[in-house]
Amino acid sequence: MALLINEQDTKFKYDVAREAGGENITLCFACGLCTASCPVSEIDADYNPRKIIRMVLLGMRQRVLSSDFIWLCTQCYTCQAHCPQKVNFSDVMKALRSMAVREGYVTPAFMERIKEIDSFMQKLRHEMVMTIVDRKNKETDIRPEHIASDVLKKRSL
Amino acid sequence: MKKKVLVIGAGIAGISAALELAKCDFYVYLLEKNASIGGWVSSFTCKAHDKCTKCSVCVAKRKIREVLVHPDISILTNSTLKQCHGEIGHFDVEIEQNPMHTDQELQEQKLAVHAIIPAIGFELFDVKQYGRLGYGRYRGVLTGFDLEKTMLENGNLHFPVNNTHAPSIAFIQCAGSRNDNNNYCSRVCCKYAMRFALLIKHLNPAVSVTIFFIDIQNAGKGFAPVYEECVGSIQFIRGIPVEVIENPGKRLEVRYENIAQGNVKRDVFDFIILSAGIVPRPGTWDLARKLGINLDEYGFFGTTGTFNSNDTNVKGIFTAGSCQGPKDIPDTIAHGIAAAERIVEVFAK
Repeated sequence: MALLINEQDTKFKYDVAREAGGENITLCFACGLCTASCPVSEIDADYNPRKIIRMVLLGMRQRVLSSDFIWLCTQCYTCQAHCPQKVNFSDVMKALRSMAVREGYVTPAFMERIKEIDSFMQKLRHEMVMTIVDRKNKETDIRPEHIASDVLKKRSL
Repeated sequence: MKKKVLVIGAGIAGISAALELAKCDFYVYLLEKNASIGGWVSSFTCKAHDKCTKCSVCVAKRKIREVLVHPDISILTNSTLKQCHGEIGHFDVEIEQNPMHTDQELQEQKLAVHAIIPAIGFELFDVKQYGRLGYGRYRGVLTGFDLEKTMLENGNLHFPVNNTHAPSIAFIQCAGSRNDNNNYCSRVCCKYAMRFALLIKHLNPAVSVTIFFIDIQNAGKGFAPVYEECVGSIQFIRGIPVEVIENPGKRLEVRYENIAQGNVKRDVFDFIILSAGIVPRPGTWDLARKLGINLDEYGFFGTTGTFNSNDTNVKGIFTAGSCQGPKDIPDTIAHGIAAAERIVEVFAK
């Protein structure tokens, strides 16, 4: 990833730090615990919380606010629990999202849609777990994909 | 008549201060809470492989032997400070001595001393607070101090013999240092991890040794060459493992981000050594209250200035060693001697 000096916004980190939730962004010493614990990084190797923090600290305003990354966070707060410096990365993500909306990188409707997806995922997970609880003594080798398609068909979520 | 000094804590800082004071014609009462003197260092091991790595444990142990036979140092074991009144030149202290045998009673004695050196040392961070690292749950997860004791007793770690994989050991740095509660570097862990890494590699050439770090703090005279020596044979990985779990083969699997490569990885080890941080001793607050001295922002004994790490806010009380902040053995010895020299300087006037 090339870093262009004239594209840098050196005030970006202070803007994030002024945003609710972003206060501790400058404390990060890059230990990598956020990325190591992140469930999204587990399935998408390109998603890397530590790198996003670095990009904020380096002032890559446009690159961060227009990136897909800030929408991939599931807000599970695992990184926040492990962070030794209390950077509160889940809250930083919230700050970055509201900045992206305010500065016109995405529409408010887009953010609403992300929220809908999150709540839909929770419903789906709940239904999937209940499905497997129902048949836990009958079929033990059922694949998650099959449960998901079953649930989607039957309950018309 | 000789001037008298009370040194609280017979660890390496207190012992260094006591020896220096006795050398300068003072009489020293050396107070120790436990039944034996020496403190942490008496459980430490020499870390020389084919050559000395200057861990200074032998220097400290030599000082322990020296203090035992010194005529001007009176060692009070099983003893704690109960009360302290007075000011520089005439402190009245009350000492409580726990009985050595069950048929004896608690003894109290009063001493009059000219100055006091609190040198009560440090406590290790309780890594059980980091449940994710599995200390206390898996047998292969040890702290650096556990490794010191094991190496002192057995001379080596016993790696399981297995034909399917090479034995391996990993050190995880900053376990309890540089977090939101203890936001400082413990200063000793990188150095002992590297010394142990070299020693274990020397004793067991087939073992692969890994050190997980945030950044290597190899401060200290002549320590940079030790790091250079490690680079060839020890694997350094920038990135701290988030979790230690036991896999079905009873080995320890860690998940971490390899920051140099920018990806999340998993590795399996036989032993995990946690470099537990240095935190203030639980009794620090209580002793500070009895002596009337201040604590600093982290809970260590506070001192009067940035460039003066011995003088406390009470005249005649001088801190020594790691109760003032994390220190390695040479720094602790130097700090103990510095506290003694401050007393010599004050009373020479």
